[in-house]
Amino acid sequence: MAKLKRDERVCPFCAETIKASAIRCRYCQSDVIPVVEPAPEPEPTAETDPTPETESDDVSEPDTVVEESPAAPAAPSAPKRAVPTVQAAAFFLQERLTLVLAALVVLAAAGVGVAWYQAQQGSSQVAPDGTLVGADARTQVLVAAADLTQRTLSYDYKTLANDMEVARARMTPSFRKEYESTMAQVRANTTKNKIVLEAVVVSSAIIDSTEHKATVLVFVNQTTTAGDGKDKNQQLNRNSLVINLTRAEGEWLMSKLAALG
Amino acid sequence: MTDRKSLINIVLAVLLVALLGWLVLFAVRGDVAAPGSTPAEEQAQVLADIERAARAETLAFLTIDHTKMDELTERVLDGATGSFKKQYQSSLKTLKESATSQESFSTGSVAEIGLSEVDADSASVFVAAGSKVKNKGTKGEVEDRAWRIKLTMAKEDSRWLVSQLEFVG
Repeated sequence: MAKLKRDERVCPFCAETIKASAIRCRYCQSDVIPVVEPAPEPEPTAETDPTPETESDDVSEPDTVVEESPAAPAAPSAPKRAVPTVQAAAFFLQERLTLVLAALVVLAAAGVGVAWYQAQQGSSQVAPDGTLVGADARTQVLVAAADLTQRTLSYDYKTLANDMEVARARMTPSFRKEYESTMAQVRANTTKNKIVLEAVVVSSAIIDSTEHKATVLVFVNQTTTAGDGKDKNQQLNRNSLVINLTRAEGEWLMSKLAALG
Repeated sequence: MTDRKSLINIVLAVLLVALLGWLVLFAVRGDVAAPGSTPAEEQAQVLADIERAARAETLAFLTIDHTKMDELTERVLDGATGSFKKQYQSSLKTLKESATSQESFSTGSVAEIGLSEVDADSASVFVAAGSKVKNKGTKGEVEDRAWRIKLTMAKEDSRWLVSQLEFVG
């Protein structure tokens, strides 16, 4: 068998000698990957075609095919034999690359599909912007706001310690401090003047609510009774309050109370 | 053929990058990454629509200018329905007359507005509102008034309208 020339190689499919830059074997018509010689790039020769894609290169020039070249006598045959192996490896890699890419695309598409499905199905209680939309969850906020407002704004001089304890139980630590300092100021007066405060919540309505924080508008009618018997003195205040609630361990706590106007 | 193969690879790679980018969007921004709107998103939109309609109607109701009562009352009627619309319509003549004779001005404002019960086609809204009033009765002085208002909303042809307006005692 004739030795391979510099610009020749063996077809990995039929083992016939073909041009190194060929993209299709002229014997078996298999698609092959062109091998471009890495060595001397500067002067492009007619033999190593830098544009192997051209279809005209499909069939090699017949006059240069089997010519024994004395110019390249001791061309090492080892790397030449390696060419088919390297080429085959590259070929398989490319083949597999497509496969790997296709598999990854399928996986990513499945991931997107799952996330999309969850977005459609899940979390019907909370909108993407955090707004609490679940009807039951919103009702809980309304009820908690009314309940906590009545607890905080109602007390009787006869049961003051107990009433305060009831109110304190559902407050955030910082609001509890505020509440305690306020109550410390009114305590003496409450006992002395026999004051009874009774708050009745007329309505509660959500200004803004997420799962963890809520701002609620509460209309409350507060009756203040001072003294008893003949000296009884009553006063009714109709107030609009803005209540802030914070959820901790599944329970709504009062974190702020402010009167409007 | 090899060309076609590398073209396929490029297309697959681009597709992969796009899908991974979308997944990252899901991870970072949550459900917003899903095209279209989720039921929760739609409900949040409903709540916002109700609030906007209630606010607009409250302001329209509290705004009085004796020089352009026709225009102002038309605006109120546009956002009204049911018994509120009937009531307002029947008192329209008296309202216009008293506004003219009293030379009334009133500017409404909404301090806070909150939603109570919300159903598919009805809702109740509470408003802490105020108005700056000036008329012959106030002797040219501007008086501040505060109101606690309950609005009952009804959905009609995809629009939220006020079907009842009450002052909360």
